[in-house]
Amino acid sequence: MINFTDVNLSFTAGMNALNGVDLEITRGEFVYVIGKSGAGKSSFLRLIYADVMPTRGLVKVDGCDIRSLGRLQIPYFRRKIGIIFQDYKLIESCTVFDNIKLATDIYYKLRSEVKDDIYLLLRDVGIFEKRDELVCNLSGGEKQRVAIVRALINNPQVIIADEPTGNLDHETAENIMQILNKLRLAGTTILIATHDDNIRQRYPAREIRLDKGKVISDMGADSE
Amino acid sequence: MRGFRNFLRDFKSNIVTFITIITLIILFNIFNLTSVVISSFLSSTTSVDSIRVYMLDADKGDISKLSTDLISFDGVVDVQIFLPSDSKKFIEANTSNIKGLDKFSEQFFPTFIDVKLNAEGIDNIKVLKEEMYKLSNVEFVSYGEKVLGKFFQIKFITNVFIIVLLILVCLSLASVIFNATRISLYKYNEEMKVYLLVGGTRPFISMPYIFSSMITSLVTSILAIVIFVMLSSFLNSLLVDIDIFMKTPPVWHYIFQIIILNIFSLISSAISVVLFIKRVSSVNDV
Repeated sequence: MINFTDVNLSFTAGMNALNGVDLEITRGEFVYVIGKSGAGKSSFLRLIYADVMPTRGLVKVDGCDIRSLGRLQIPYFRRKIGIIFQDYKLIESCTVFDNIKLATDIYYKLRSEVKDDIYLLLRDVGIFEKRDELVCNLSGGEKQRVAIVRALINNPQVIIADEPTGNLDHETAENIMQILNKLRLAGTTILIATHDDNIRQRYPAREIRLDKGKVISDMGADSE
Repeated sequence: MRGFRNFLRDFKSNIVTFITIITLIILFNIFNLTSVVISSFLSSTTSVDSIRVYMLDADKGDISKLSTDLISFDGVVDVQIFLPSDSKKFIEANTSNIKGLDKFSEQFFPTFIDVKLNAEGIDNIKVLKEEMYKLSNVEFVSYGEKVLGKFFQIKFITNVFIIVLLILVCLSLASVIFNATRISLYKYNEEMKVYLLVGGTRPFISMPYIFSSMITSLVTSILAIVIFVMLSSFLNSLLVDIDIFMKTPPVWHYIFQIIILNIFSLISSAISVVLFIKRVSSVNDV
């Protein structure tokens, strides 16, 4: 599903955010990307959703070399991927429903066409009753659930979560992980960049540890 | 649909833009109206309906032969002979500030034939003039070219002025729309980033903002012209009472203005959006 072959990424000359990364993630895998701040976790994830291009090497997602993507093709490529951020990236002045609806706008779908799907997902993550509330009135955990629904609404093949529980208390983080774990069981490929040891222990999975842009360990859940 | 929604959402914050554009267009139309009035005045002043043919020798036989020759020309409807005594009387009757004219003897005044024309177009008149020079006893033929030339120059300068003004108005409108679009884009920065995040294409993201700017410029330009037409009609209704009718610009002037102004605003809003979206290239730095 995701292949990295000798991938280097540098934003400034001589400073590599990623250095010779080689790995493969198969379809339906649940993977933690771990490491200290500045280890290259976010850069690794950004390569997957083609927000940045590798300086050297090959990144393939679902058989597609991201370097071969033209500027016009990137949006279509990105539709295969649901992205969740630590800071949610929601529009605070819009309602929960409208925030999720934004993601379906790209398919020119009408409100009536997507209403049922959005409601279903909102029920799944337990914030159906908040559907008409403004995002600015929600708690951190609720916002993250909205972000998860937005990431899921277009049925992506891969979910990328960059520190999804970073801003949340332990209990809320646990709720979010339960939702992501449900998706894992449904067969979605999930990559989570995290610092949180608790959630890794509660939901063990493959762990790719990065340090100074290099993969220093890559352990499956079983081998741990 | 999203473009129309953006237009409605930004309506309040765009009121300054509406007022600026309407003022610009009305100001331009005041100048345009002035130029149309000047042009119409000059056109009526410069319409040539007669040519004067001055003679070398003026005995009666020559005069009557020449007048017969002249009336045979195409486009000539009548001839009127002015002997020196008639010329003097004509000048006395048509001038007010030439002192001592009565002291001049009649022999100092020319003999000429005033040729009434129904020929249209200055080129036809020039041809007629050349033909008249070929006749015997003709010393000088004139239809007031020097004065006409000055009037035509004034007309030309007025037209150039209006074209330059239209270009300036278009550029001003373009910059107003450019800035209004940019301000609106800053407001929707987050929304754009979310669209980028979920796979919105650049045309998908940019079109509503361009469309919204188009509606803004279309609505304001039409509104400005409607206001101006109403004002000029009102002015005309007042002027009619004192027997003056101000010629208003033809409808195509307004249509042309709307098209040109909206092309400029479309280009400027497109540039504004494209430049902005280029800046918002990464989804990762909301």
